[in-house]
Amino acid sequence: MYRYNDFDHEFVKSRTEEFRSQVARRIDGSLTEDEFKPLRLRNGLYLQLHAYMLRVAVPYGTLNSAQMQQLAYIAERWDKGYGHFTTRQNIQYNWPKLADIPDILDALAQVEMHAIQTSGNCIRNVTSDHFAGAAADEIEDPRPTAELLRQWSTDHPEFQYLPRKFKIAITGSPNDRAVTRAHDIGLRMVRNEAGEAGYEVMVGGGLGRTPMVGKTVRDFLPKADLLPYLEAILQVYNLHGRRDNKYKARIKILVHETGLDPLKADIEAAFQSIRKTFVHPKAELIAGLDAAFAPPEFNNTRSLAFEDAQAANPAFRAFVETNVAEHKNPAYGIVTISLKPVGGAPGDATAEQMRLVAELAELYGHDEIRVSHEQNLILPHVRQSDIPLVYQRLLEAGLATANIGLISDIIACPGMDYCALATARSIPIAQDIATHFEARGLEREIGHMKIKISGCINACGHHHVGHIGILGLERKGQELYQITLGGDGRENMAVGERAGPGFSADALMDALDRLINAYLTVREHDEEAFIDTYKRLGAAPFLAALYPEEADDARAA
Amino acid sequence: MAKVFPPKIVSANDLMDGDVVYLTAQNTWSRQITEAVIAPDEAAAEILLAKGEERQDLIVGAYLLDVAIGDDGAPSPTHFREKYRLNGPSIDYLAPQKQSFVAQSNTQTTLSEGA
Repeated sequence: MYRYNDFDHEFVKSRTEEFRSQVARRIDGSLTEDEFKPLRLRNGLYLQLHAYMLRVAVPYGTLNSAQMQQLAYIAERWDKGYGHFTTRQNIQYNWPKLADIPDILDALAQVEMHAIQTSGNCIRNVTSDHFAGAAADEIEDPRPTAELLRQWSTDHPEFQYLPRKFKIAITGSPNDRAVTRAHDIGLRMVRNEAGEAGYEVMVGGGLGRTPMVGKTVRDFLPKADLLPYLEAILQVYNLHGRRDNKYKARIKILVHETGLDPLKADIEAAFQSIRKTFVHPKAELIAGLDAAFAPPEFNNTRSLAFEDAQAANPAFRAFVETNVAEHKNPAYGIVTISLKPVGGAPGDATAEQMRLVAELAELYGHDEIRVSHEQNLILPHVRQSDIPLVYQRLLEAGLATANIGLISDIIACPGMDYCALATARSIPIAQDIATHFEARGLEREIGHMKIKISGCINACGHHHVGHIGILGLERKGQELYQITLGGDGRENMAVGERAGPGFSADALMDALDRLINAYLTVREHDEEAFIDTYKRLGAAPFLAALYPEEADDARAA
Repeated sequence: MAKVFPPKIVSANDLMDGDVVYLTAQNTWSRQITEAVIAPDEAAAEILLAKGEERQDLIVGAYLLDVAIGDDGAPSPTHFREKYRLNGPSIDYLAPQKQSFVAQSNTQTTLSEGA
């Protein structure tokens, strides 16, 4: 993976020192909160309901074991012994104290990490496919590009005061695991007719209060044109994006209000102008990035250990079925470590668990770890014959939950248990759903299912792209949960449709039960996933299940 | 009929550790809601908030919240958000994911317990 050069080290160190002095001045009273707030947000420090929260960037979701060890150390030394992996592939600490933040940032800098640009109206941490560099279906590893974008966007003077935050996601695979169409800019690696790799560029996707599917502005952008082209998009947005209304300030609104073709023309015009004088990164830098993300030296010796363990142990077989994905090297597998133990808080990991993952990555995983936007951890390169050993260690640590892609593999934002913006809780809903369907023994029968829960309209829990989305709101002093159906975060992204009136927390589980029962009844065969049944039949049978009284009324009328 | 004014108290977060704090009658900040000073009417509430905002070196984000007064005279928040702020996360956050998932499902906090 990419290692910091002297410039990176110096930059992060100077920012940490600067923030140390700002924290000291806040504490001694020389800075007011109004003055301090934008400074702390620039360094990833939020104030939540009960405590400060530090959001640490995990660039494009890639970590090595030393970094994971340090994240564990920070959790133990300065927090309450755990961290929360987020839908932005970041990690959040929920209980740091203000005076400790500079030391935490120093500890992060030691392992080439920071919390810069994890908040504020700037280009945020670039997210990517969590199987990048390992996936069998990949055109190219997107991480050299993601790192190039990190370097380009970090402290970019022109883009520090955008109308609103700006998120870029990139995937190197035709099967989109990075929800690229839900980002301000989505990049998908494609090949042109000559076989050269380039990018499809999508603009104006987003979730939040106005969910939009990103629109393609370029079918094929040559790799060398990427930075000037992105600068063109950002320049158009910076000039024309709305600053009069926070809720209309994202680029998706600009795309919507301007119209795709006029906006494309603006971007192309800006691009033609920028490219004339654009100083491209040196060829050595690009070659260096490619080398930094070169595949590890795979050990292709095979044994029958993987097959034997599956034959001998049904629990391991179940784990492989859900948690091991195809690797581009046939001797290897991609192991997803579920952070969704049934009844747990999605995305939480204890320091102990982080250390174990770090150790396993070091021993069996070529020192590589990924964080997924679905709030799980991944060992991207594990030799198949080592997977039984890895599984055994995970099992002992309560980390072997075999539920990836199933109904208990739920995305949930922190919700009102932590978040100051939340209008309702998310985590207890996720816990109840997972526990309920586990108790009914239905999880495997239901099969592929993505439930995503947000505790407010900002949609950090991606509810719009959940096959079943749940949005927590407040109605008359009570938590109320609104259900959306048919959302899909893949390359054919679809925004879920609101089913109807919301449910109280007490009524929600019964409603979901009726919904799932209806699906099990109407699906064509056991392999037809909920989302496919929904696409085939439309909403009607599911709405009838969610709102049986209305369905009865309609029949009576 | 005049709108009934719900009694209010002032809350904020402690500057140093973010803890939820309440303004007391002595013009100090306490982590105990029972020690909060209660504003019975709008004029008193405005004065209390102004007092709360004076000590920016101790707290962040002072604001007024509605409370109900118990038989013992102690205030308790009426909105669920303030109840969670007062009581901390409703989930078992200090023992996350430590046990095997079977053990976990037996110890998980249900919604009703959290309220």
